Amino acid sequence: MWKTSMRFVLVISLSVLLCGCWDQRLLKEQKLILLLGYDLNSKGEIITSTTYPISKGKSGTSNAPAAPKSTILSTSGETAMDSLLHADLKISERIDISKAHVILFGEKAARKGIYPELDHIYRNPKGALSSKVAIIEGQVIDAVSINQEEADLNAQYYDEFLKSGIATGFYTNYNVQSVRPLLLHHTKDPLLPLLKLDRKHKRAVSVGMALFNNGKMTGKLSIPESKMYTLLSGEQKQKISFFVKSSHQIGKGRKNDVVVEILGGSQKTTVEVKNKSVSARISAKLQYRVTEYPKDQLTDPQVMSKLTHDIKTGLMKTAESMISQLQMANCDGLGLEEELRVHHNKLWKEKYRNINLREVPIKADLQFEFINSGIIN
Amino acid sequence: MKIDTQITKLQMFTFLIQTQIGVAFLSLPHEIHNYAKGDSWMSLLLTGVFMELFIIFYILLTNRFPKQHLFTILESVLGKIVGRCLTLIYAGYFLLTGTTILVLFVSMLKKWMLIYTPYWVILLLMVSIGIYIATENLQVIARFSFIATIVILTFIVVAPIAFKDGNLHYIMPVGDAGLMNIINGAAHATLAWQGMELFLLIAPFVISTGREKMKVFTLANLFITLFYAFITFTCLIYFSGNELVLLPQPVLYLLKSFSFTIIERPDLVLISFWIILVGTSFISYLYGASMAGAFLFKKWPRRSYVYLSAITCFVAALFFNSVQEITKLTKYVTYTGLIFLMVIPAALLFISFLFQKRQRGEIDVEN
Repeated sequence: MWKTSMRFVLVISLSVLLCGCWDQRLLKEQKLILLLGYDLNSKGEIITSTTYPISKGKSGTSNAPAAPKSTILSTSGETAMDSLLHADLKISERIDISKAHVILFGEKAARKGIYPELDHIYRNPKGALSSKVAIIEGQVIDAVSINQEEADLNAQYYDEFLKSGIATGFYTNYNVQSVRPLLLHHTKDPLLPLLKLDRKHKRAVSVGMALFNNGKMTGKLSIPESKMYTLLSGEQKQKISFFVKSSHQIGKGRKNDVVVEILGGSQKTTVEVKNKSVSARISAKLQYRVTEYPKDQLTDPQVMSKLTHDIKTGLMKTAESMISQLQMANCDGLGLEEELRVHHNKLWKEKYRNINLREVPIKADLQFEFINSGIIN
Repeated sequence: MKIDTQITKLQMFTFLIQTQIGVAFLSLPHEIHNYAKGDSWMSLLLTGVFMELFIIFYILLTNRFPKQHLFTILESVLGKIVGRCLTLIYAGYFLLTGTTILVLFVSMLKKWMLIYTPYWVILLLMVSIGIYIATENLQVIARFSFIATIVILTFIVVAPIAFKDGNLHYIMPVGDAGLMNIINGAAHATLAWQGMELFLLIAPFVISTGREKMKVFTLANLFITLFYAFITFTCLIYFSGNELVLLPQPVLYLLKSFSFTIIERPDLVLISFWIILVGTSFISYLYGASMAGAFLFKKWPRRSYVYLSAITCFVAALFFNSVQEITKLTKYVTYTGLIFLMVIPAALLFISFLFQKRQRGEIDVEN
């Protein structure tokens, strides 16, 4: 009898204890921030712009579910978290950033370093580690408050925007977690998507990638250079298209520029050490197909050889300008210092900690292989 | 013949690995990384080899006293008074370890999952699970360990997802930390093997010969070593060195950074699984402490000592809240652990060799 009653008491008390009322987070009491933007104002304070969906009661008599709407809130504070605390003062419910899809940084903030703003996300057990990070040329508040027409919510819009950029090969695929080792571990630097706003057409526009050095933004790459980077860093090896201007213009009526798409290939970064001085070589063998060539007649060997030459020189130029941009920004996106640390550890410790890329000659060596010209010749 | 207090070899295997894999393994990569950097995985393999030596000691000791458990061995080797005193100290050690498990468990859970839940509520839940199972006989405990082993398998299955984003360059060049640092790391990893000493308690209840026990024990050690080394290796290639310094529980952080379509936060699911692993360790120590109590004072059944030790652990755990206190406690337990894990069994073996002591006649122990 005693045993049964003891068990009964236990079951009752457990059911009370196990409901865990202390840590419940009810959706109806939270405002889920989906898009987060950080920028600096002239006083050096951090401005945080956020958007979150709001649900207003259905208007009128229509039975169709109302499209989700989002609203914008912008606050400033000394640090990222401080500005969010200020945001909490202006919101009717509790603020919750654990479901953020995208985190945007203004160029000004990025040039001061992005790790301090991300710290509170890393520290929070509910932090949104898989959200994407991008840099905005200009003011973040404009990007957050964009009145675009492609998606219901702005957060969704940027999420899809970045996803398609990654698929097309002009953005690197970093999220909050995967960019972290590169921000802390200075033997390789990250490159992050760079967008700007076309306010007239209510759109965001890709402009390339932002270059970082030791966690701070130091330069920019254009779109073709970004594509070349994703190709040569081995980030992506397919589905990247390049436009190449031909030097042999024949006649005036038709242009003979060409668009090629890379289908695959192999890429290798080698660091050579000679007499304790370092040089790097990035070699790639790329297979391509022609996706546009208005001149046609690609079966003609003479045309073909000229074209191959044009493609090679054109893309080599892009590669070289990409490399010189990286060197100018001292952004080790190709991981040369890491290569050095792993394979020439002693030399790295002696001389090349925090390598200055401007002093390292980097050579690109590209080989191209023609695969096909689509379904016509 | 199988009596219901005896366990099989497989149950012994699962009991041992469940006791050893508990709170410590979530923070193991971080702890070892402080010493051995990118070569931490080698440190763990080294510790495994070193522990194998003590397994031989344990087996030699139990082979000399095949029907006796730790406390009766203590009495036979050291005499009644010293033996009983040591049994009391052992009970204190089991209680201390149980308390440490509880304290670490609650602090971890409060950090990762239940930030606002009061300390004592989480504690009470764990203690009640401990009492519920530890009051049963060894066979039930071992069966529970067996079922709970599925949880360890999930960790093994989930962790390799990190290989996709891993970077082998983080652990290269291999051997960069230097031999001394690797050994130093290995020395600090011994706490993760704590729980091995409970073999001496369950040894007489396992239905097998000494040779088979050796085999099973070695297999358990091999499993533990490879498991720890694997988890550490995964963390090492996923997180860079500078990052790992900042992450006290890299295993959870690793799981947190994955995201699936259905489960957005796999770390929460795996924390719930991990609670089971902590539970089995805690249960084993409650069992050990209550065995000591029942052996010292035969007046009451073992069941009542389980209640007593669980309440002691609960009250003791209430006193440790802050990070500094917990670090101090863990340090203290690590050093006392070394005594009970290595020094005492080795000394017992040595004395029993020296004075030619071995089991005489039939002694039947009960649990």
